[in-house]
Amino acid sequence: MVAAVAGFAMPVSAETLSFYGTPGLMDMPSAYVLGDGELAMTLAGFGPNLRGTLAFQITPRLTGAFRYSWIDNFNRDGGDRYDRSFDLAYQITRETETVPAISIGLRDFGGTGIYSSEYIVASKAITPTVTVTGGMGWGRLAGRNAVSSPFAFIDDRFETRPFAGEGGIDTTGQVDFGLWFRGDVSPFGGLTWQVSDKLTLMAEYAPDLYQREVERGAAAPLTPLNFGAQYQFDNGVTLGAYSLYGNDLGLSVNYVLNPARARVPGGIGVAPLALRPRDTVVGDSNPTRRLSSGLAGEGMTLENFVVAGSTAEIRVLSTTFPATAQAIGRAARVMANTLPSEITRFEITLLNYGMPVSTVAINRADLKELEFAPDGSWQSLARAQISDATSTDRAGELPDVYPAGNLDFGTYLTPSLFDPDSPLRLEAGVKLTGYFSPAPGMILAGEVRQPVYSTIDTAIRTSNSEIQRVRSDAVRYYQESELELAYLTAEHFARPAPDIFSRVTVGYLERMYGGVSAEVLWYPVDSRLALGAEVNYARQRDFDGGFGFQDYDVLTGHGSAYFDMGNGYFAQVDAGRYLAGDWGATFRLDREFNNGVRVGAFFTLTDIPFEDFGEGSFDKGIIIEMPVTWFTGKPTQDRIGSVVRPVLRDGGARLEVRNRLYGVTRDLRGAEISDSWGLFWR
Amino acid sequence: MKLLPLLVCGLLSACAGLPAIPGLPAADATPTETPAFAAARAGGAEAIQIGVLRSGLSSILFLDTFRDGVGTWISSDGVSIAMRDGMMIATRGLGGDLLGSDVTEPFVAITSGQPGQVTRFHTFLDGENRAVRRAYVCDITARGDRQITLGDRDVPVRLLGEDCVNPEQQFLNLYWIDNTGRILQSRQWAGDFAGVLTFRIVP
Repeated sequence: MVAAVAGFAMPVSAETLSFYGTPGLMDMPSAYVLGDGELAMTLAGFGPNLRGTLAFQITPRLTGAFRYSWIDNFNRDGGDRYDRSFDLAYQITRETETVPAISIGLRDFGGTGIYSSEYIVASKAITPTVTVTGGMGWGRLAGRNAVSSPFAFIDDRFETRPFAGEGGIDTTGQVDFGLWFRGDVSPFGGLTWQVSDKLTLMAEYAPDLYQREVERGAAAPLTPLNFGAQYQFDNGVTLGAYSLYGNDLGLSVNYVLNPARARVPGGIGVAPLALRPRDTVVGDSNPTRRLSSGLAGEGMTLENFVVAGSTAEIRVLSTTFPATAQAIGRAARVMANTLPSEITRFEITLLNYGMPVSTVAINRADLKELEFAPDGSWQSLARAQISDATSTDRAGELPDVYPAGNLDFGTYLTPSLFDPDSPLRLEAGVKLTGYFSPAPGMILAGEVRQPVYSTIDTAIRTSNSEIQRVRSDAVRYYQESELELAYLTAEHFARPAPDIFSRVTVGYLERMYGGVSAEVLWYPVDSRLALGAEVNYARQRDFDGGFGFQDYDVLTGHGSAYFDMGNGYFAQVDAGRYLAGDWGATFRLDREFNNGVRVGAFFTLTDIPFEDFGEGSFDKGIIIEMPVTWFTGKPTQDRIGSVVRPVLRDGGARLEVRNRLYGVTRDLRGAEISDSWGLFWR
Repeated sequence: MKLLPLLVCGLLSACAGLPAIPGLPAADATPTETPAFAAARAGGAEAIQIGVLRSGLSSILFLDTFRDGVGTWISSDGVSIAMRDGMMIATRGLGGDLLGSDVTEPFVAITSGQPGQVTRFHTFLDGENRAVRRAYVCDITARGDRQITLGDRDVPVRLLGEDCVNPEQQFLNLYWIDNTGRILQSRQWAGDFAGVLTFRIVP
């Protein structure tokens, strides 16, 4: 709309995605970007190549991608090659009437190097429906019509490009700074024509000669000219068909998801009860029971109820609403519809694992005034007080809350990704999960699993790790166990001082380790920064999943800093000693949307040299998590998603203790509560 | 009479072919009647007929609460709609909900039958749990005399239109008013997500 007003040409719809799953033509990149925060999933194949890519618009100008490729008969022994690669691209200039969009990109900068290349590219719309793209490519892109480096005048080094795979499999995963923008370059380019809202036609000149594939028996490109058509369906899925390199037909399918746009904004869960007029609120002398059942109807357990003068405090555990602000809004309305009119102020304390975390204080009169007010959301936030929960005694505890317990029977599904022999393996089975809590903050919990179906069992690759095998033997735990104890722990959570949380966990901590874990977290209610420290003694468990232990034990622990950078970016640094006794630090950056969708990446560098670490050189991965309510609109705290590591080895491996304090408290602290305050009245 | 599943199916791509995610409950699973609705119906509460224009479906909602001039009407599946003198001011549970409104100016113009320009204010819930405020400039026009049927009775009414715009959105509300200035029937816009709702009093 802005472009139409300004009167210059600008493409009208989302960018087209290339075979590499990032904005581009077919095999070549363009200078365009996805919409900020968008996630693009692409599956594209031609000839012996199949590429699955997840691209994420990390910031408005920075695009990242993780790719898993399958190349038929690529290995020297004739086997198929499964390859992982990461890309980054940065848009230097945005497109304007006179200036094209210009981007600089790194492709496969930390993988095995098959796709290793760099480019500088410009794109510009020349009519409202036609774009032109032209660029220069290094590395793999420097094939046809390659000329010597334009940077040679700066330094002779730019004239030659060292061989990427020089050190063999063990050097993969290292960031190849030494290669970038070195060696010959080839020009590339192309056109897109958006015929209609749904159909885009494209043509490109692609200099990639597929040299390494051809050496291994693939057909050589006959021409550098590719042609294609992409069609976008109403549901957002785009299908493409292409003629590639004069001898191949290609197909692609992609879907772009905008995490900021939940399927149902605010959800479709049952509406809150409206505030009753004062004269219909029956104030009985002992409202605890009605309060408790009203809160239970909103998915909350009332643990304490204290009246002091005109203030009523409730302490609740909310297990249904995904956003804390919504639970507070519901609890406040239940109080207003239940408590006698002498009570004018409500204090709602949120509990987790028996710890009082935060308290939100609300004036009863404000509720009534703002329920349907045009600016009720902002005004109610401005008039509410969010503070650290200070009430750590057991005053006003309802008699039937403790001891508490539950036993749950369910199913589980564990994927195991990226085994070079079979990229997707999984184990499915049934599990029995239970907990018993004799008093607030004291929890005995355990889970037993019985696999029913497993393809992880048939994996034949064994660890070739040259250091202590603290994680790389993970597959043996699947193979050598039947009925297995996933965890069995005693935990104690507490509030030793204002703004301080503590946890002690003893027992079978995770599938591979047992021991003792102690953690403290300093986290002021309105702070962007939280600091934590954790010390663990861990001993490796037997492969059979029973109660036994192996010989290896280690003292491990970390100091952690968690920083909310604002605008949905979160940084985390954990520095300390890892399971193999190696010292180092993990750096993590997440982008999290207010609706709970989280996309992040991390890497760990320790004192284990890259060559001893083995394939991948160092531990790294990406994290994708989505709340189930994003898809269904129903209120639930369930989440799906996982950590995806290209390869799991023994360096930089951290103990997986359940219920680390930052995760347990963050959603209940000030910034998270106010960020989703739009749900207070929902 | 279920308002919600039909609305969701009418609006969401979920029903239009995105692959289902295994293990997730279906969005259109039939909810049971909420206790509040059952109580209102059993207690013979006042009723209103509300339809969703996009899906063409309608439902009877009962009056659950009346406080400070605002009535909260509830559907069997847990949607509530708040109205002041026939003007919708809030929704809960439709998705992209209307959190609150200021419709004082259009209300005065419509019930007094005075054409002219007015402003109205809405706050919507967006996909990132934020409350988003929007202001609209609206032209109120008289569209002539009509006759509508309520129950078995034909009632003469005046039809008024309210054409609203802001830089991003536009919508048309219609009101059928009796000679006392009461809104008997209307169609009112509930936001980009829910679209237009139709209202008709049940005599």
